[in-house]
Amino acid sequence: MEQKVLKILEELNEDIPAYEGDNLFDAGLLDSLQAVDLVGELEDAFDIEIDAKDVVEDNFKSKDVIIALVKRLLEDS
Amino acid sequence: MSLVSLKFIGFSILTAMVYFLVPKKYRWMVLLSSSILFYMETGKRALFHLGMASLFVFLAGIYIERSPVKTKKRKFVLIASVLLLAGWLAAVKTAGSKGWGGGFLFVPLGISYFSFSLISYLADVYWEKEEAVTNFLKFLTYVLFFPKILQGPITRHKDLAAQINEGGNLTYKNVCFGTQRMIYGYFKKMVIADRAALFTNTVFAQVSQYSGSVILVASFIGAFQLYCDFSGYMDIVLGFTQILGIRMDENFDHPFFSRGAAEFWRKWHITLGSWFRDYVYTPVAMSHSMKRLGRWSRKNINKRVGNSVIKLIALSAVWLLTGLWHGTGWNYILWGGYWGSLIIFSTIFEPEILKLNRNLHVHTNAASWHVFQRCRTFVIFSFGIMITQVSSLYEIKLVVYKIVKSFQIWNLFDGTLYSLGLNRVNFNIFLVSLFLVGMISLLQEQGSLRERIGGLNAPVRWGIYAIALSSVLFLGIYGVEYGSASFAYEHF
Repeated sequence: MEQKVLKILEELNEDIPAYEGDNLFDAGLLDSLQAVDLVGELEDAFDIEIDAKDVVEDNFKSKDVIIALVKRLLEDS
Repeated sequence: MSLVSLKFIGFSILTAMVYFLVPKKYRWMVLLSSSILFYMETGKRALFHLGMASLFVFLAGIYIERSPVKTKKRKFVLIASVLLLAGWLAAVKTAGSKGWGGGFLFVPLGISYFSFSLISYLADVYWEKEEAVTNFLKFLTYVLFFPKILQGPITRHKDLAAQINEGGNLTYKNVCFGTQRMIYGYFKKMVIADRAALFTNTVFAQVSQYSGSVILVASFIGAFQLYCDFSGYMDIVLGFTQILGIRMDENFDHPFFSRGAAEFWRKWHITLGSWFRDYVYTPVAMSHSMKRLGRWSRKNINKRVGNSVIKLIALSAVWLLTGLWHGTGWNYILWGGYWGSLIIFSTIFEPEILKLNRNLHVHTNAASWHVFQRCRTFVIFSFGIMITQVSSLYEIKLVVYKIVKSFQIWNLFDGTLYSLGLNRVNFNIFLVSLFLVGMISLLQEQGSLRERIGGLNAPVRWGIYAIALSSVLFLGIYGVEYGSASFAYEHF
């Protein structure tokens, strides 16, 4: 699952998987427009539903928290 | 009460003194009393309407929180409340601009700001991002908090209320830095923006009288005027709240250094942009129908179309509403369409734009290219201002015609510019002050300037403070009773 998420992130921006900082938005690697693309990609790839209330910076600010979000939604579904 | 008046300065000093004299846990009551007194100046009727709206939202918040999640009733209360607030905002703004309602429908000052604060509070309670408030007076303190009520920043309840309720600390650094920032705000407003207004008001009142070059200069000056007016206001209120030990969201991050339209709007009126992102763009883009449309398009057409169609619809909604938020006139809708089209185009066609740059051998990392991008963004912004300044579509056509066909470049050198509300001396004061703000902005990009000034020797430090204060006192533009012109964004 993690590899699949990383591949989606790489397709969105090739610099994301290598980024080790704590905020992709502050680093200019992700913005709110791309976050919407990312949600669509993750939903299609894992057959999950990401609610609008979960689309906040805290849930997308690093690859680890994105993986954690997908993991949580997979467990809930 | 204007923020640029001796009355406000006295009021702020008195509020800060009483605030720090009472025990910490009662300090929010001082802010509530001050805010009520502050808002009373706009009329008891406005205060009553605002109080009623706050009570309604307070009760709706409690109802939403106590209703079981994912019930229709809960969703209905949220939607009905948001529609009521938005409907009230739209009704009074339309009535205000058209003169309808015979005084029954009037525009309470700051309605665009507090209605947005109330909507975001309800949405956050609905999405369980925060708990509903159970103390109405504390909720009212957040809604009425006087530094933000007239022009923002649109600070979210969960960020501000906790600080108000806890009470700020009195520290030398906060008082010192806060006062410095207030002086800088007054400098931007009174020395630059109000001086620039003398020029732009003259030109935009009768664009047909002037050449293209003069109109172009007026629109550039108008861009700096609006920036210094609005960001000056923010410096004053954020400086004051810093003295109280309360941190509110920043609304500007040197927008004129932006290299594109989207970046500009992440740095200009930041709290409005983030409000539209969180409460319009994301809910629209993440709605079930949009997701279905995106999924269908990705599957049946291609991934790019699927992603683009969602952005197109969500960004169109955002920019239509952003235009309407600024005003209900046709020119504000056109202005929203202007910015929306630019941002949608640059977002959707980003791959083609990058490819074009490559084919044209544009060195996108070169400093000269960055300078060009910044100048381009500034020109785009200035043209946007022109749309909101003129009074008819005919005048927009006239402005474009004059710039293209009747530019008369010699007007820039033959003294014409000194006969349009600003004489040579005042025009030069404006230019030097603007240059100073530009230099300060460049230094701020490299880190906190106030920290660096604070580290200087006392005589140098106090010399800087004295020059800054004197320049406001001696170079500021004053109206009646040592007041200044009202702030541009106060009318939204």
